[in-house]
Amino acid sequence: MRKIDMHAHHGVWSYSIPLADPTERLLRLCEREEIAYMVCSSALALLYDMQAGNAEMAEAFADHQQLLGYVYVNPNFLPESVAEMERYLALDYFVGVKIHPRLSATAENAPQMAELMGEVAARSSLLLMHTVDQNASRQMGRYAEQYPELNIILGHSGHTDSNAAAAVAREHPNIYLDFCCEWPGAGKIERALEICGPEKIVFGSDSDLLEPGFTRGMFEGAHLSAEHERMVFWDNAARLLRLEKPAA
Amino acid sequence: MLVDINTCFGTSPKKRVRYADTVTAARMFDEPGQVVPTMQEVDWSLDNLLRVIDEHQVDLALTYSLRGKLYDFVTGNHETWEAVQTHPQLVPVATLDPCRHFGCLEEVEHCADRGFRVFRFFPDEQGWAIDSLPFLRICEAVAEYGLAIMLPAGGWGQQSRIAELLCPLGVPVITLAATFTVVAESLAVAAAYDNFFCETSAIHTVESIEGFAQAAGADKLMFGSNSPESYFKSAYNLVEVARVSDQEKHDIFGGNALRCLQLGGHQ
Repeated sequence: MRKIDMHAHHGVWSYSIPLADPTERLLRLCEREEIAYMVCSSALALLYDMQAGNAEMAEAFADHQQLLGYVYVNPNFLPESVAEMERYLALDYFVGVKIHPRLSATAENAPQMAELMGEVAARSSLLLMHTVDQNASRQMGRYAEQYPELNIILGHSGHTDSNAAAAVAREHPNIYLDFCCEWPGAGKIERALEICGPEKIVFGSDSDLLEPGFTRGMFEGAHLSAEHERMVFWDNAARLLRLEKPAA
Repeated sequence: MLVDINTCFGTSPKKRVRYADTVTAARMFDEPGQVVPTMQEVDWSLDNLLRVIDEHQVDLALTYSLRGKLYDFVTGNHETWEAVQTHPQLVPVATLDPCRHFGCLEEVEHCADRGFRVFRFFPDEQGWAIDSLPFLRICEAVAEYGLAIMLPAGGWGQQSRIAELLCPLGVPVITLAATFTVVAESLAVAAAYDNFFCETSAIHTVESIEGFAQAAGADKLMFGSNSPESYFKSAYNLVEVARVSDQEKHDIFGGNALRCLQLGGHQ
């Protein structure tokens, strides 16, 4: 089934992943896993240099229409983050913003994060937020209420706190979940379907840090109906990305 | 033949099953001192484990009782032994807690006599160190019976230490749940020690499986799913899509476990 992957990365990691061209690697994964669109943030931006990472990814993706970008921003560099959003959200293949609280050493409820959130909401309709516990999920719910036009994907769905993340998604129409996680806890997707419904779940793989088949295996284990599969793997993400092209 | 070397069953109170036991990478993602992730509800029952392995056509599942890990290894191992008597698709894995001292060596002998093929250890959850003398004495006893030893891969450095301490005993030593953060160490150690093996459930990337096969040999990998805690297909898909030969895939999915753990009698 064709998929839209809403959580991926472009770049290299200090793990046992071959040092092949990162763009080619993502394209190979897309081909093998029938991923029509893969939305990525830059590993270089996440780990070391925000501007250099966003720039590198923008250049790499310019000629590959199936690879889309999140602008990575950092609450510790507010003016620079605003400039990054101004620069890259003007490009049609940058579709949203990515924030990683831990890698920017800033809590979700910190004043500078709140300030950045306002700047994001003023410029984008889509935010992927690395979210690894219930407190973070609830804080994102508060931002969702404050900025109803900003759709927020809780990346990793709160890790092992995914029930709490799903409850936040149920309460806020603009909160979505993706389930990529190195912990493939059995039952978490079924419980999320009960709590917040399939319309609030998107597919995200965390490629190429994690294998897309690993996350696909979670959904296979959850035995989604064909209708729910279509919603999770395509429709919900297509709505967020405002794609008109239907799933094949 | 599909052999899953990493399963368990029981009636575990969820608060005592620590996330970090199975996914050490949590330590990388979460700041120390943050809210401890709550363990979600898992149907740990034997019935559910049997359902999972039946659904995925697992021929043999190595399994242990959570009672043995979290409460009492004597009654836990007995529970495991009872389960395998009525379910031939299960292969018994014994557990021991070195902190108990009393009865540990006797339990090794008892389990060996009952046909257990593997002893599995839980240093993180039970709060002891892998280089502690009581643990090493137990491993020596386990090795006298020619049984295999399983324990978590842990953080960076632990697998090297495990190999240094235990591989000289000459029995298979298998580390579980090596994540992408420590796979580089896994393959280096597996290449250096003939009797060191790794389980696949948490390796997370296909390239790591392929890289492992190239560097250390596919004969040093054994498939494990961490069922019923984890979705079976997540671990399965990693091996299934790996670009290794059909023979290597066959070995990872069961051939290596059959050979190294001498499971022929269970087929």
